[in-house]
Amino acid sequence: MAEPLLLVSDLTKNFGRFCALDGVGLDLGAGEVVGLVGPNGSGKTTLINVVSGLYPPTRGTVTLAGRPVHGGAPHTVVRSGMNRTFQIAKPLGGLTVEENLRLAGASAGHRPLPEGDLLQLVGLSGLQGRVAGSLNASQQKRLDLARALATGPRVLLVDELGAGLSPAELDQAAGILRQLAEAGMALLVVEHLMGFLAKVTRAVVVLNAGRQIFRGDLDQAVQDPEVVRVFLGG
Amino acid sequence: MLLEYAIVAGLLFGVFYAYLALGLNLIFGVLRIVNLAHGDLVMLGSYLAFELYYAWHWSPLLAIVVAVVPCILVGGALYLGVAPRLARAQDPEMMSLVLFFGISQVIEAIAAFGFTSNERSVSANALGSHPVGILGQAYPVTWVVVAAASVPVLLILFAYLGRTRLGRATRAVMASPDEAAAVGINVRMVSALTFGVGVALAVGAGSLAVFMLGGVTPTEGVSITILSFAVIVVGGLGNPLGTVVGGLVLGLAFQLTLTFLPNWASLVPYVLLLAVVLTRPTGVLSRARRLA
Amino acid sequence: MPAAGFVVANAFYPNQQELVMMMVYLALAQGINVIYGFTGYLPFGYVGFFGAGAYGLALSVLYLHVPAGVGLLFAVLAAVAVAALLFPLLRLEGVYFAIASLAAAEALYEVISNPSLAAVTKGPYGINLVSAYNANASFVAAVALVAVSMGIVVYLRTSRLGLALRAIRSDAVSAEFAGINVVQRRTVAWLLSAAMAGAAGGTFAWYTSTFYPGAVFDSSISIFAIVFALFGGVGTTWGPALGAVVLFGVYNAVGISQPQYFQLIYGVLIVLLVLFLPGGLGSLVQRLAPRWRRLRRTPGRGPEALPGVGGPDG
Repeated sequence: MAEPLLLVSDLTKNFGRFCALDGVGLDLGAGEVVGLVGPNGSGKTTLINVVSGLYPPTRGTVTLAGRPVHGGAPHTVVRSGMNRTFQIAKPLGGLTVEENLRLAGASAGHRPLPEGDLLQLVGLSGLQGRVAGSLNASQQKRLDLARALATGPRVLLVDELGAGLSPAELDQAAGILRQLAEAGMALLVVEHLMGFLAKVTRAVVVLNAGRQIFRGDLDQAVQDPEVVRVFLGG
Repeated sequence: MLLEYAIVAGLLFGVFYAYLALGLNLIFGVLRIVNLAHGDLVMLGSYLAFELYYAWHWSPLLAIVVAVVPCILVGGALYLGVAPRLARAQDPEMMSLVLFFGISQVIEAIAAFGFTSNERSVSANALGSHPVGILGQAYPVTWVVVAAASVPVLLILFAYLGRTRLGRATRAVMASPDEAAAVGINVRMVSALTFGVGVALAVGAGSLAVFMLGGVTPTEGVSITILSFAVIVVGGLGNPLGTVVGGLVLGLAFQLTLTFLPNWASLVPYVLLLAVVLTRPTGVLSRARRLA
Repeated sequence: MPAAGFVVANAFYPNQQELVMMMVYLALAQGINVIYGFTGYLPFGYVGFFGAGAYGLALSVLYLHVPAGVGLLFAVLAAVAVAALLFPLLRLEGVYFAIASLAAAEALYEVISNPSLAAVTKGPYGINLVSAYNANASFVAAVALVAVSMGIVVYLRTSRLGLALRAIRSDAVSAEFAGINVVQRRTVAWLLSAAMAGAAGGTFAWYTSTFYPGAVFDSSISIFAIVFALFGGVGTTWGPALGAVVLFGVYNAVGISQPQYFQLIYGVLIVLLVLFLPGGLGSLVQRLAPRWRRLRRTPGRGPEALPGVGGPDG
């Protein structure tokens, strides 16, 4: 089997004495989609923050297509072919939609989609000239996704894309993610909305208190006693 | 001998520095605003004490007491006037900095009109001519009087923060304005009052500063603001008790440098400020908070 | 174009010194524009670079015996060196950065004016460059200074670097994930801004030829530059230039003999700007322009008659 595109091993992150991630391992191949679930505070977003370079890990490694990327600043991670979205989208508010994408496209590691196609994909066609700060929350979320895609990532870390979207928008978002995976992109999808996640993938990793407690099929996960205990308490 | 002298002098100045910087830290703690006009308020207090002392032979201590109520009223009103507009600004932190910078310029200009640009000097013997003996060495009586006057002010403020209902409300707002509001504290009024108290502390400290520093000029505000900022950064921003620690550290560092490297003593506040801001996590903490 | 304006003004206006000072302040206001308007860092100690530039020129002329024109390169170099020394300040944000830069400038002044270093810097006794004095050549240098600083801002308004800086100002984290090397881009803006102040300081030193350290490290130089930039509107091409010309003009009309009047005026101006017009004059033009256009309905007149005067997106 070929080497996985993204390989995370023994990833640990301490904030002072608090251990947010405790030796997490993970691998993703091209076109593979893995859901990352767990209760609040289990370390899902911290994992994305560390893998994407926002925080340096306390211990452990992240390699992208065989090249170590941990400890580098986010822009180096972006340029080597991995990007992320944000739970609360923060597009560059003072710039127009078009400028947001032009900037991101300029540092693309790989040939990205043309801007027009990108806008069509996320459903922002016709809004190129709008200042990003004047978009509504849903549009900002789409722009955030388009910004990540404009850098031409081979691995995309998706943080709570479903939160705050309407049912119709959820279907659309799930369609976009499936389409990206079919085109060969590897996706790690942090999600609270299980219905939404189920439309994208069956493969999940469950985190609790900074540790992986389950990896496998979504259907098996809901029968796993430890997963059930963690989610329902008791 | 020299070392002991420097240490005692450093402690005397340190207590005074703590008083000098306390208003700045109180305002920062509650409002998250750096009052860049702080030094200019100190300067105004110095002129007030100077005029009262030489025109009517009032003690500077009396000036402190007299100034409290008008300062709280003026400061509180100023806060209530500008706060709503500031809150609506795109970048309230920077805008408040620029705003108080403007206010500082206005105060300085008005002082130059009112008192001319020349320095008003105070005789070293103004508060008594007999040196005071401490541990076998003689110190100017002014230093001892000013330090002795600073201590009760600090104690009163800490008693206010620790023992009164308003003071406890103030500390609640310092910890978290949202949660303070949630338990029924009127954050706006507490903020206005705190701003007023901060102004009163600055003006009061000024009435001692004119004696401690030997005079006053309209342009001294900037360096007093930086000195005070150095004190509160060393002691911990927004931590009133830390101000005392910061004041003592600065007082000792300044007096020790003055004793052993006299030409370089004026560098001390700047170097300490830079060293602490760059190495202590508080400055960097704000970044971590923003990224989280 | 503004550079040409100053050349024309020189032919008609008798007071060349005022013109040179206006040009120096124009460059300083544009330097503030580069660092504050494009990155959001507000250096209250901006004068530190100006002073470093003045001493860079003076000491290179005195000790290396270079012509003053070459000394300008040393002025830029000195300011850039100070900026490089202060790289750690860029880790700070907002208030911390503003006040730390002020402390750094004061510290630099204390060092340069220190009697212990009088053998090198002439300490508090000041600099005498009368042998290098050349009013015409230094006037030309000031005109070039204006042209270059306008050029830098025009470049930033139109280039990818400028777009990246605006992105960083908007949100540093998102900018990182748009692939921008935030630290490096900020550093470039910082050095550029320092170089502009250094060149301004060098030009001032050359034109004045004798000065005390207190004159080139006077904190009111930072204040003027910041006020001029804010008044015209930072982030724009013309705002800071306009601010420098208008406000320095006012300063010359009312302020020279009684600087306190001017200090009072601009203090009040800052307060009013923050409270009522945080975007500066530029934003006012931008806000009124559409209304004006609707009133006029005459193409080619209206706001187009004021090329380039616009808000952050104009």
